[in-house]
Amino acid sequence: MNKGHDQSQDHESSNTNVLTLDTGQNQNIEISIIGNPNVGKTSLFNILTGAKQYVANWPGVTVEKKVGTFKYKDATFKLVDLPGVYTLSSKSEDEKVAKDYIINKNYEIVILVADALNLESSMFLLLQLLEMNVNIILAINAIDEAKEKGRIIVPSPIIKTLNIPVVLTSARTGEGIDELLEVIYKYSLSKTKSRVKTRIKYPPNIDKFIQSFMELASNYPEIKINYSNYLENNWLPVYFLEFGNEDLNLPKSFLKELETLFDLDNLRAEYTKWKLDFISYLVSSSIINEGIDWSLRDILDHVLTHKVLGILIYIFAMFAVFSLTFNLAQPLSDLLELAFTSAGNYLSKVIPIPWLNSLVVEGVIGGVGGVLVFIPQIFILFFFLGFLEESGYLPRAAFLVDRIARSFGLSGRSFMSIILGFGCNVPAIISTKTIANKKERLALILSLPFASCSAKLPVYILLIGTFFSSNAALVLLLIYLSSIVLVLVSSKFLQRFITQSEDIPFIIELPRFRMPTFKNLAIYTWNRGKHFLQKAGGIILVATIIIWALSFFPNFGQDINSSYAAGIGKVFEPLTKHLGWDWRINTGLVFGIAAKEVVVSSYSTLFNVGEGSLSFALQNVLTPASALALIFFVLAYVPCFATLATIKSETNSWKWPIFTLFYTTVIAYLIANVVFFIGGIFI
Amino acid sequence: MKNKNIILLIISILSLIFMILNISINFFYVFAFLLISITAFYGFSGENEVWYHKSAHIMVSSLLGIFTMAYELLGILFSLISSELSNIKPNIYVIIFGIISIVIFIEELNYLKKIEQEAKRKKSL
Repeated sequence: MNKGHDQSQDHESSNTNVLTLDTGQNQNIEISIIGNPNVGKTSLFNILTGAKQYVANWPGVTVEKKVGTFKYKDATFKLVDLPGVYTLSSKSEDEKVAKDYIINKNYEIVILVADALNLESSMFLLLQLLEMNVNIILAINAIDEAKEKGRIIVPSPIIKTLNIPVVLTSARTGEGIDELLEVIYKYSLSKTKSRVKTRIKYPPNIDKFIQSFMELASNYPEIKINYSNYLENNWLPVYFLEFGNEDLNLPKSFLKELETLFDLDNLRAEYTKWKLDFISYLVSSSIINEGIDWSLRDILDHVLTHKVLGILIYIFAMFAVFSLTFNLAQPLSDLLELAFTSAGNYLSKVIPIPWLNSLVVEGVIGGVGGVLVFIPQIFILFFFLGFLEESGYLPRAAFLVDRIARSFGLSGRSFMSIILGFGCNVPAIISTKTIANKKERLALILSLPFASCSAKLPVYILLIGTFFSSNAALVLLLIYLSSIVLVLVSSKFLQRFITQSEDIPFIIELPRFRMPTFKNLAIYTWNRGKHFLQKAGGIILVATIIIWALSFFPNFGQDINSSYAAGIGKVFEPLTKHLGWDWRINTGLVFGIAAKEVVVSSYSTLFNVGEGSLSFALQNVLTPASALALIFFVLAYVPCFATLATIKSETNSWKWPIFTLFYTTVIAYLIANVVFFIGGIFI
Repeated sequence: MKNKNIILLIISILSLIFMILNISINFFYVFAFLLISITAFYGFSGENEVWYHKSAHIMVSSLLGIFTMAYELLGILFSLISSELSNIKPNIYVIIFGIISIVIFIEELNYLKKIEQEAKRKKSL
């Protein structure tokens, strides 16, 4: 197999309007992967395309389509990875993405990935796809884990009953992948007409309903026009039976006529019972169980999902991650600092022009270097957070906090977005697509900027290392827990002003515990950490040069207190003087709007020191209470430009990013004052 | 292991002792040993509807002990970058408890596997 490349864009779905060619022109044959959340779709996508999409051990990794290509024999395939869904309704954004794609039928075949350990839940989606007359290959994944648990999958009853190809695969070990490729190749290139279509046999009452529905619909031209895709293969009556009229909006007169002909409630009950019985028969005839009702997962979940111990263990896990971040990274950070100091000393001797010397040594090396020394902390933090996520532990934390989150009008699903927000707020906001309740989603989008993203980490580490070094991990834990509380309280507060309410229960399928692979952890850590490096060479460098220029001019570095930078900071001094923040602190915060890391590089430039003595300089300016207030201000104030742009694109309105801009700043200022007041008493 | 109450008692008392010994050394370890102790104590509570209740508490508390030792060992490993071997002082309590935890975890896992094998054998008969 010649692996292709991943064509997906960050935070952006791809259009998939590529023409599927007929047999004989084996190029760009479009196929897609669909399945329940967390069954290994993205893992299969990566194996087939050679892409490096991060595969998380929790549901909701893919909320938009991902597109890649691969070659097999003489054919080129375009593979579309769809979001994980249980049904093809339109309850949430990710389901809409999957449903719209499947309905438009711009593909040749669909690979439905099912979990060998939870075959039943995939069968609902399988039947729905068959009802839509989609060409399906069923890939039953995690076959290795099923074998370990004494579960043997026998695919022949499914093949005979549904007349579809079935392949047993393991994305972890690569078992069955060659067979899957061969089946994809043969099945996609066989002439469409030669494929035997499955005709589902419904009970007589349901058949009668479908027939009458279609006859009645033919009298309504608007139904023909608006639901042409649904009418093909009689899917509209079946969809109506399963999901009702909520997202169909069929004409009222049509519904009235239908109600006079049928008792719809009874019919729905009959349809549901038939479906459950059919699935139960299929699954029971395809599985042979040799084990007993025991697994390490059950044992661990018994304690880890305990309402008291579970929360304590979660706090312990986060405490351990933050302690490791500080303790392990410090020696590496010291080495980097030494390297930048040496580079600065060398360059200060060899550059003869004073202004250029100042720009390179104090501006670029001092500013950007001052931020880059935190690379070890950022990568180590993400490595261990990745370990918790990849091992399947974090979704359990979401399950645990569901009860707490519910009292704030959110669900455990929102907690997953908050955890994502610890990396970057942009994917966290995008991940809210999985939240079906619009009120909850909007409140969460507007509150997620309070989730402490990695860009703020250098500011925390600098200030915690300077003022609270003996309890560094504990203070960092406090900040992150405060960040979660802030998102929850803010969501509750904002929901009071957002109309439209609909309580949707949170259903999460706890993933299996897995020992994370180093490769997946490396991808996770790199994906999260690389933005920091990209920003260091881009926006941080530019901002640092601007800050240097503003502090150097108009008096050529003679008196920084009368520079342009001082002018900017002094504007805010009446608001911040009582907190112990002088103009340099304020100027850093102003430039931090571009990217939070710039706060640290600004301080390095404005205090005119390298990172090591920056701590000393800050101790002369700030008290522990004012430093703590500054930490909390940075935690909450204005999100970066990328986050504001994402809020705009997700809400389709400029109103909300502008609101967020002011809302977060006001809240940050209030919190800073409260923290300063309380800190002044206790510290 | 058959005598689960004794194992739970050993874990909870030992972790409490190590917690006290660490009070003046490291707050993180105090929290870790306290949590291990609480987890083991919860094992005594009578949730009899789950047959593996006590086993679960034994295994999770010993796993926490193993993770705490892994934390200590990682710290030692990274300290080697910046300081000499003679300057590094390992927390011996954490390492002792970690080794005990490994033994308990493996023993309990083997015991559960043995039960599974017996059940399989009975099923096949």
